[in-house]
Amino acid sequence: MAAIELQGVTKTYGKARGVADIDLAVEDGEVFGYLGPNGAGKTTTIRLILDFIRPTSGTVRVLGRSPKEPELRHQIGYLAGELDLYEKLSGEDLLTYLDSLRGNGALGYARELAERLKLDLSRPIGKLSKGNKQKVGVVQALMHKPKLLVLDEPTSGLDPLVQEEFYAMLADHTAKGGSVFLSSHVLSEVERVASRVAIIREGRLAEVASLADLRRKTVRSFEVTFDEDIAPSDFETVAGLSQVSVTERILTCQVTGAVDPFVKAIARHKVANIVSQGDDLEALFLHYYRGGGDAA
Amino acid sequence: MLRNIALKTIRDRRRSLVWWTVAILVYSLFVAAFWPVLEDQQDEFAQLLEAYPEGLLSIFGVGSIEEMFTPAGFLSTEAFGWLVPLLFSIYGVVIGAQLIAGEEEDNTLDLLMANPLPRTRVVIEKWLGMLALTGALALALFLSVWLAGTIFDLGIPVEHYAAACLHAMLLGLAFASIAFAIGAIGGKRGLILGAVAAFAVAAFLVNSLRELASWLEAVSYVSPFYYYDSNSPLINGVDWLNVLVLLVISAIALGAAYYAFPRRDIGT
Repeated sequence: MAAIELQGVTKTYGKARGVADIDLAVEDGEVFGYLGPNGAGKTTTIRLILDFIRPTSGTVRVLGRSPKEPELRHQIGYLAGELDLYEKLSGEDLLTYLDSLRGNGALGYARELAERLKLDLSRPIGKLSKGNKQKVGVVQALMHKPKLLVLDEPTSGLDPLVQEEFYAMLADHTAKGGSVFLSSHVLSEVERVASRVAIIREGRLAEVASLADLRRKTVRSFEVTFDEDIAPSDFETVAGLSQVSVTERILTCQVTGAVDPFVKAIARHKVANIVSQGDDLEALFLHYYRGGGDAA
Repeated sequence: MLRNIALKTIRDRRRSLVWWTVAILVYSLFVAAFWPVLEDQQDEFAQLLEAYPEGLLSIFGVGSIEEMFTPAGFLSTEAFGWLVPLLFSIYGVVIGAQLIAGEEEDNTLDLLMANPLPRTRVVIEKWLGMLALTGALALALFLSVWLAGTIFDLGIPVEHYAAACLHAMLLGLAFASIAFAIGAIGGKRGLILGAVAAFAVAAFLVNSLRELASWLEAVSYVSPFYYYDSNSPLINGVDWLNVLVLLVISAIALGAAYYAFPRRDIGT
């Protein structure tokens, strides 16, 4: 059974861009990354999964059921991208309230999670920093031990140490067979945990691939400064290299996929410095944007 | 108080309810304390009032000058004729607009709807919360005017206080339900506050001035205020037909919310 299944899903509303013709399946037990720039339709997709909005056409299935069934949401933990909580309640009160609504008796586990994240539950949420609010969001998403986590930019606002703890919690979740649908506009947030990734841009899926496949397509820019004279011809034939240009003793180029041939090639010379840029989604998007541009 | 949506709806407003109660009590005592003075100097006040245009007196709920010098007539003029219905209708609009439209605008509706709750249950529980809140405000009013009336010997039967407060509560509930339903259908908070409050003021004026022109009289039947005070419940007790009409207004609005909210997109 697929944790999430979207078939030909289109959502249009008013002037805002929705999503068009989305097909994807998140397998049970899988961590699925959903990548795209802001405004690409990530949040729209998530809102369809949670039945906040209904598709204009196509079908959405979550854990084998229609998202319209309210009981289904016992099995879903949701963390919103733009997280807004009841500001006047304390963390403890909010979790108590949500626990009552869910009827799970999960308050003890919620306190455990809060402790792991070093979150003070006694303070009013309105007085918490963005990072601490985000922790409350994480706790409420995980406390009822859902089968499926739907997380929209989950690590935004969390400091690196807390992020580590968060990733450990995700690992616990998947070790017990849970699935994760994780949306982000930053590749690094996804590549730590995801096994497969979909890339969405302008409301359409550009690609669904394993992370390994994606890495093979990742484009990175390098600027290498040498301590000796070099010639463009030393690099132009190296596998994966493109846009090679040499100015004085500085080489700039782009490497697609494996970096090994490039590293071996520059190692034949005396290297003074290496600067790498775009080991991230932006470069990847650039690739897909160019792809889209060529097709148009 | 965090066991369900209805209780949280009340909990969120418990402090403001306390302040309203205090304000209502102080005002009731102040007004009732004025009664013995008025009773002593009826003639002077009557002369004074005769100088005012009839329309202005109508707005303040003065039906006739003789009526003004009965305790119930006096209390109508000073409170139940205008302040109480405006208070309850505005209170109703404000909470009604907040519960779905406001929560949607504050973005916390997502947090709520991510829970395993049917949308119809959210509608019912929030509406029950409004019922309890308008009821609590009416109870505060009842206890205040009854206490003040007893202290200053207004001699109005307790069931007439209760009748007037029941009418006030159902008026508030009707406006709350209308505002709530517009939010459930998809109206934004600002629009609801503006439109329903404007409707409330217009409906109030039409009803207050209904005796001045026949066309106003005809239009006043669509004003919820008509069913609040057309029989002067403080003087004559509960008018069950009027009570029924106010309840039907609330029920229709609740029905519309119950039907529309589960069928629409939220947070768009």
